[in-house]
Amino acid sequence: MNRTEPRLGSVLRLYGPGEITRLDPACYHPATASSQVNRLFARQLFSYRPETDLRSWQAIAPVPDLAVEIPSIYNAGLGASGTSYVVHLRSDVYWDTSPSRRLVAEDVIRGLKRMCNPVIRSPLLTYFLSTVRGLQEFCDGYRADVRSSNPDPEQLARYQNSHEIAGVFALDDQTLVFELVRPTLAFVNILALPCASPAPVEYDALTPNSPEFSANIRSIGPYRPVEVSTTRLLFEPNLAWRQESDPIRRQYLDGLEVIRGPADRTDVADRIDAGAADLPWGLRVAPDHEDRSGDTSSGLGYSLDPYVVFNMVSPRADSALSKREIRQAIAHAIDKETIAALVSETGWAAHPADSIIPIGNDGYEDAQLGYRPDLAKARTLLAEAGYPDGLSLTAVCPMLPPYPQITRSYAADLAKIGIRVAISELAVEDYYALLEDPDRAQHEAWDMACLSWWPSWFHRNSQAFLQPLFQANSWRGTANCGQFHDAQVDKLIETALDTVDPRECDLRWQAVQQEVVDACAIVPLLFQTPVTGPRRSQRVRHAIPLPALGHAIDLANVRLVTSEVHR
Amino acid sequence: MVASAPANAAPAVRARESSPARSGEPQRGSLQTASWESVRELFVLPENAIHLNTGTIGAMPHAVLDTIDQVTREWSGGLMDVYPPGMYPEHRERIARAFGVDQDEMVITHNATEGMARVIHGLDLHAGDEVIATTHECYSVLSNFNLLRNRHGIILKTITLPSGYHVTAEEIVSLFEKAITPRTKVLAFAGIALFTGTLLPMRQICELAQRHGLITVIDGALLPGMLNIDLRALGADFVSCAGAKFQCGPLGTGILYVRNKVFQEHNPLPLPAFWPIISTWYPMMGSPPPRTRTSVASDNIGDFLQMAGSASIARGAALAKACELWDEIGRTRIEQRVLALADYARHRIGEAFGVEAMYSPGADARLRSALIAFHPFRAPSDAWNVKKVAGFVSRLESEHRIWTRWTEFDVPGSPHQHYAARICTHLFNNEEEIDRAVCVMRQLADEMSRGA
Repeated sequence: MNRTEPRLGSVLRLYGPGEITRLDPACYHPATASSQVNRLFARQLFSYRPETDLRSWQAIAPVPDLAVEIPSIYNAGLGASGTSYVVHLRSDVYWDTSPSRRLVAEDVIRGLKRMCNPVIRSPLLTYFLSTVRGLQEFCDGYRADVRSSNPDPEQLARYQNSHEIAGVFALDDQTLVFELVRPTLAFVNILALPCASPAPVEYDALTPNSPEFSANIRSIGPYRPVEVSTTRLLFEPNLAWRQESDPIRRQYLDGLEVIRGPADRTDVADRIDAGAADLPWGLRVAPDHEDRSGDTSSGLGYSLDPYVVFNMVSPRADSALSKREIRQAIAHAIDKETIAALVSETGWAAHPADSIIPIGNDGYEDAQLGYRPDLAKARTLLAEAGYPDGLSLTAVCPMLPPYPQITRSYAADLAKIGIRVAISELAVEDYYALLEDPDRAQHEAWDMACLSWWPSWFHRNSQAFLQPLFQANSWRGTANCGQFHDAQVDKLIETALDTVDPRECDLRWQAVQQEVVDACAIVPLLFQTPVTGPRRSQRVRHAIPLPALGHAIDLANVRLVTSEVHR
Repeated sequence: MVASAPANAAPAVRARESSPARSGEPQRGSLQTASWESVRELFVLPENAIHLNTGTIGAMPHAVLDTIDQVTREWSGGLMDVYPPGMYPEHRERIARAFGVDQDEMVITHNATEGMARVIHGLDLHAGDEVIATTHECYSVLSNFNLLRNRHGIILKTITLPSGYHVTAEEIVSLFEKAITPRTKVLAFAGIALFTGTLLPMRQICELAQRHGLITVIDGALLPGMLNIDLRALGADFVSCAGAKFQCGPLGTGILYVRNKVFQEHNPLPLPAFWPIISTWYPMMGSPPPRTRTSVASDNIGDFLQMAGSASIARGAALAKACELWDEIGRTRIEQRVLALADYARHRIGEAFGVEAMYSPGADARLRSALIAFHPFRAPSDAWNVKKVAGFVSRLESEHRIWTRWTEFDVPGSPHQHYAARICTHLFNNEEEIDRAVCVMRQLADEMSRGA
């Protein structure tokens, strides 16, 4: 036997401070740690295969997952107008129900309907609403029909099962049609987003993302969760999964275990180095050796990571943050170079951000669009806005490195212009629950927060930052956490979405960006991209990052070298 | 076929006699008067099968097949100079004559797509110039214009043609007219829309273009071999045709007409600036002579386009043979036969499925072609059920040996992509085949409409 050849077996262990509360694909959030395990049990029509060389186009090109092939004009899957897609499902995909039941087209439609549930939605829903014919109406109707803030699952199922999305229908159990409101060149990428996972009929009895949901997840992936708590997550192989029906995942492991524990990078690194854990969970820990798997020369787009979002509807300090001058003063006061130094140990390259669309993404402008550090100008702006003596604000951040350090850094900067910042550190799940709830934005004490956003896909992706972060919406789960609502921005977004020509498209999105920068809706802090893979134990093999999933390691392809092979 | 040419112009689709049949080919006899039953014998057709899909690929005549074989053997392994015959001077001359034009305006291409690509990328278009096409164009047309849009920043505007039995030529011309803006430089459209079978009023659209000083590019893939067409009299600047569809030449053949002279009665506009891309004839230094402003050519644009390295000599010879055969049978006679069969099929389909099931025009005789697209099922919503329509066509083929195809296209005002069954009639078909096909289609559609 080849001594380095991995073999099936053993349990992969992940350890760290990430949350384990966001397992429902319907509310998938790319910034949460839970998103990393979605791929183990959920699948989409299209997805991404692990590609060791991130410079390869195949690292970011969607491939068929549950679908038989990528729709094109050559397989009658795509009409010339670009607004009609026909998708054929694999016929041999099964849920881990008892007895196991074949995946059908209605499951895909149910998954799309669940995305619209008013309990908690995915921030990625915005891509679908502007694309799929009738989805906006379905979504609006859902919210109008189910007004309770805590609806029971029967209410939700009743709406879903008595209303249809006009532009999505099944021709039979294996065939789906998607009709779009406009040609959308990235539609296959959009369908590859994990929030578009199919849902079995059993989910009708479960409130989205509830503890009951987590305890009753049905899998069509290679693993199934068998234990879910706030501190432990355990997966075992899914016996209903068939390798021949899944072209991109493998079932190399006996299981996966996630242990959540309060830890910083050093703690996690020590555990991994000691062989007590295999991979970090919920935070970045760079390896102690050279690892080229995330070479910066991949040329892939950077992340906006992090940025400061303003709570536009905060009533505090006489609604100070609703005033553009105040936001601009804050932007001028923050020292991004110092913050860049704080993330130097993560294995990611960081550059101070001068725009919203990061380096390498479509629409990126190599120009200073933001606000240069200028304390004098910041003080002047504060005075002009009626706050010559400064003001007091509350910044929230998750108890997850490096966010507390970054928050303290910019709070210190703001103190120099007379803005007193009280910092509130929250558990990760509490943090997102607060920020994603527009109702709480109006009533609870937060003014500024630190967030990150990754490209949702990598080609023709100029919409992937501006649309989710700034298009007006007020649903629970929104990425527009600051409730930035601007009619002109929304109009410009619609115009950009209507544009197919690549050059014109980028210009239109840049116009959106300029409008948002002028309004100072956020303060972009850093652009980041991985330059190394994550820290991993000696026995981990094939730990390949998936760029479209925030460079998360593809756990569905990780292998372990057991002690047996070293004999 | 009556075209809407001005009084002083030759009709675009001509009623003219074919050239006399060649002697020395007793198996074909006098094809001008040969029965259609004996004409059918000229073709390589599978037994017990009904070929109603010439819009995709025609059946090759035995003589064409023999020519490919003979010329290939003649030129294989020899040391002869292969370049001069690769210019196809005689074959182009013969083919050009069949379509009312001269050799300098004729190019033998590999297919209509190649011809369209060479035209589209040879146009002297710049950022901001607008091209008007339809959503019913072949993908290859839209793909090449999109490439041009990405490369040079042109504007591609598409209009969706109306479909249905009652569509009129005036509706179509009006759509084009309304779409024209001061930035418009080109009207590009199919001579016959492959999805719905609509024969577009080519001459009227070209006249419209001429009134606005516009370049016209026609995807004529389905024209030659079906209609007795005078390419010059259409009034277009470029017409790219297939050789292997209704003309029944070998796969990998096409016919490209490039206007190279100014005939006032057909198209009085100056010749458009044109760059013959993919050429080894274009000078390595200097420029070709200025393009003529008269009916006398100042250069041979066909040579520029034709000479592009070594070529399959057999391919050109075989296409010329197919055209020669058509001339012997008589192109007018063929057109009348093909369209009469199409009218018969249209009538039978109307009886079986109702004229409202038709996507192809019928009421306006000017728009009728040999292609008929229709909705076979009872439920209107099955029109956007690709699986059912594709299944219908597949079962016709596998269970009944009837070859048709299904098409997909936009319908104005509908949010759905529509799918249709499409049949084509050609000279080797007959009424009995149509009767049987319609009968089978009706039974199968009924069965499938019942959900069987």
